[in-house]
Amino acid sequence: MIKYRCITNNPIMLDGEFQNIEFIDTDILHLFYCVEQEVCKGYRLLTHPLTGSIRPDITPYKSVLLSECGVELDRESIELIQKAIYYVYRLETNHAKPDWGINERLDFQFVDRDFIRNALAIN
Amino acid sequence: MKLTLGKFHVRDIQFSDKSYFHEGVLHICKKELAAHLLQDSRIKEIDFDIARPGESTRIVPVKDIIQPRYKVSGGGQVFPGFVGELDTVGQGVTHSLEGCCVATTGQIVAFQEGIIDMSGPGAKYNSFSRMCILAPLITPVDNIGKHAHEETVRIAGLKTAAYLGEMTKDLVPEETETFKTDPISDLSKLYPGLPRVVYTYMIQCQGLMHDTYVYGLNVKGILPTMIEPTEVLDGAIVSGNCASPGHKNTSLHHMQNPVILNLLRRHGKDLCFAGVIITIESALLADKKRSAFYASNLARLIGAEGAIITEEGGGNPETDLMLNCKYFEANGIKTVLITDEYAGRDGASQGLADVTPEADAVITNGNGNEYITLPKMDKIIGKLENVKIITGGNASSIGEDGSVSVEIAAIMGSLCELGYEKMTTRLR
Repeated sequence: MIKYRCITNNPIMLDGEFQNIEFIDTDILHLFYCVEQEVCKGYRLLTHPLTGSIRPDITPYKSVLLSECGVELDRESIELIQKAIYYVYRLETNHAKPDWGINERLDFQFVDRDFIRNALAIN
Repeated sequence: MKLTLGKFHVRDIQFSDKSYFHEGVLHICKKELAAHLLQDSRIKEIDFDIARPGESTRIVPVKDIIQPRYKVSGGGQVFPGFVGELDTVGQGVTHSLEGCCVATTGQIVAFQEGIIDMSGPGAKYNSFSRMCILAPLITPVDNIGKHAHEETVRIAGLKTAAYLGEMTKDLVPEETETFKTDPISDLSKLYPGLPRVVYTYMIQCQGLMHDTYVYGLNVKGILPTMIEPTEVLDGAIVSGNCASPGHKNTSLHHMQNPVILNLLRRHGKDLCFAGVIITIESALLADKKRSAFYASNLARLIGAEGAIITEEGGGNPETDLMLNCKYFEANGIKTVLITDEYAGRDGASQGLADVTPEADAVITNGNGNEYITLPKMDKIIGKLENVKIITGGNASSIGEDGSVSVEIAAIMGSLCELGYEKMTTRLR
């Protein structure tokens, strides 16, 4: 199993299944800015920030895996998180995010967790 | 390999006391088909409905779409690993019901599933509206988990399609089309002057509602591999993907993949079709990189000079698309990419989440953010309220007059990144 940090705004990730969860109660755009700050400190992206094909202007939740240790600046990680930030910003400024009910929110949380489970199962 | 598709044209579906196919009409005994599907103990209840081209009918939400097929000869059976015997497919004769499909419905999660309109402006966005559709309405047992629910509906759809296809078992097809591939070792000798083209087939595998199966295997974690194009046409690839309706590849899209069909039809004429490389779209960056260079190395190994690369879904798969492009081009293999876009409602924004300078030949199949209003339909198969919570819909999607306003991303297959529908880019 790889060692990782997980930066997330998905509350279901706090249920004890995963280690090194860093929960931030915020929207995806701000979450990605936080990830960008960590990448700038030398942490590498392990998962693509835009997991799945659920658009970030639709789902309220994302979880991003980063390397456990920050060593040196990783150009690919920086490029990728900045492209993801631009993509989210662009989609969100096009139209307002839907106001999801509790059942929909739980489903989004469930699917986001499944992406992380699957990613960790490969390694 | 040599595969003959024996085609039967379906002009209507009707419920009947007995299941049979006669003079273009599929007669279905609901009781018999229900009993067949209820062998799966995870299904509590099942019913069926029919939608026909031109009717004032809307199906929502839709999960998968499957073409009815039956293998008459050549070994194995359609959807190997799920319905038929687990054996190699892609050879012999397969019967195919044209102008007809199975559309599984039902809500597994509260989003991600699409709309089919059988008439009106929405009908122009996909080919399913021009088909006779059988919709199994599946109610799972109580407290079923989401993964089990998805699998139950997926398999029920495949079993239904195989059941319909089997009705033609002893009949003579109205027309046939034969596809033939050659061993890689013979290609240089057989087609010395023709450009050697490989098809790189990106498929999703990231978790619930985002998975794809090859011979029954969830492809998550595999290295890129080769498959005969006729195996794909024969149902070796099955969709468990629901992300999102406009640009997911349904099982029918895999069985009728237009890139494969066109490359096969042109093989030996103006190009040499060297094979299909299946490669995955993983959530992990290391997987993305590994898959991209490995796929490009496979292509180089078989002497490809050109590659067509198709994407499934959007967002992170655009990184896979661009990495594939980069590594293929670095290996001296010219690429053409096929995708769709989310370029804002006015179409003015950048349409892709990732790009690379090497991507200088890209075909788009439409802008998913395009916003349209679809008129009220007299009949709804499924639940109209779902329009508010599917991809492309919103809280205001249902008008007071019963009309529906959505992004075209909400319409099943509207932006198909295999180029299955009419919206595409053509060079003039």
